[in-house]
Amino acid sequence: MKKYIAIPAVVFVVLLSSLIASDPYVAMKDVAGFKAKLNQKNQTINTLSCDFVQEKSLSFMAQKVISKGTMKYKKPDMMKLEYTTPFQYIMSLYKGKVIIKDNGKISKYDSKSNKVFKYVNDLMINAVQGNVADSKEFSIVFKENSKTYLMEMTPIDVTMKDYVSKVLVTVSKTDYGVLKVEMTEKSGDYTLITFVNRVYNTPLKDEEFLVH
Amino acid sequence: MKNFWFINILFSCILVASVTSCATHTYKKAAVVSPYDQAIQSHFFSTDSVQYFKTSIDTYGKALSGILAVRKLNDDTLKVSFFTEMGVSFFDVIVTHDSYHLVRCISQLDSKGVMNTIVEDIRWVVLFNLGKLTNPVTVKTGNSDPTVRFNYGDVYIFTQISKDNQPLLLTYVYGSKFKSKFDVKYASFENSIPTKILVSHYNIDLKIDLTAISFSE
Repeated sequence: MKKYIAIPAVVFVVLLSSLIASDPYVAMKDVAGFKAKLNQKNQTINTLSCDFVQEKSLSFMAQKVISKGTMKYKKPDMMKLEYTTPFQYIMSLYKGKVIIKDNGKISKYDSKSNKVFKYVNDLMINAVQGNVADSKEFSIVFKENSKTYLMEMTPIDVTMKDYVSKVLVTVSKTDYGVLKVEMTEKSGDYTLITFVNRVYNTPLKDEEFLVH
Repeated sequence: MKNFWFINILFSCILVASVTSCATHTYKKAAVVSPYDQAIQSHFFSTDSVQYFKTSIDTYGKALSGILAVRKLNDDTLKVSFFTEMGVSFFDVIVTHDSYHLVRCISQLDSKGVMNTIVEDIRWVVLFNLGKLTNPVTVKTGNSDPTVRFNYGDVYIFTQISKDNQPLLLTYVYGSKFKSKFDVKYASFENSIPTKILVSHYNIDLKIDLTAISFSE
């Protein structure tokens, strides 16, 4: 008999504590004001350097895998993601070219040669800048909680929905910097990239985005 | 995602190879020396139920890379996921000894020819088929490491083995002319678990380079 009382009690305590701990998102009150401030912030960003933590859910394997690295961004179209743990891999977007260093080999591609690749690259660059609020490629729902803004973006292009069903971009209320980008696939698996130790407008030479 | 053209090339090559197979490498002259009565050892999945490999696939100068995750559910079933470094999934597949079931797959990889080759390679890479090998005999090949020949259905598996009975090189050999289909080379080990594995096909220009990685903190 005791267990029939204990189970609802445990469920109640869990629900109560999750309510207390959570900071639920609600519809954003001033979307126009948010867009204006985000745009204002974007105008001031010339470069961004940071570390990132990437969490990939593998529901099929019942696993989550975490990789880490560094990211550099320079206006208007240069971005370099360098994975350092647990593997070494560099992907650099450099003036319309995609440069990849993997297993010691360097390969280059024209980012426009593949529609999906260009789409994801553009998405990453725009998301890092927070420059997605007026995107024509997504339908966007704007939300907020006490500390952050959230843009829930759903691709409009049917082809893209095969790869990414939803993109969540979390923006700090403190400095309007992008804190997280989460891409969810059709299967429900997600890849969450969290940007930490963000440093804005440190001088970065174009050559730093080349891969040797 | 940069690699969809690559998949078309891979599929074409597999198709061509299946009708114009012309491997020259042969174990035909490998003479049987004696029966082999020891068990081949595999230390995959001995410490973790999931093995992760940073994986590069090269074919005809083109490359595809990602993370391969292989989970051993039991002696007869593997779960396999392959996804890009940035986390976008290529496929999830359940693999048994004689079949597989694609749970999901991007359309560009979803062809029988491509997936048959990939799944077969994965089975051998993690030595999933060890229990299906029969009639072991040592053979004389001229290699310094002892070589053991097994029957696997109607083909042969030749295995160069280390002193502690771990495979160093595994070759899939078929037909009356003993043609080699592919090699799996275990190039380095850590705590007896292979950490660098190279797969080379003879009939098509397909090489797979796997480096074991660990996502544990």
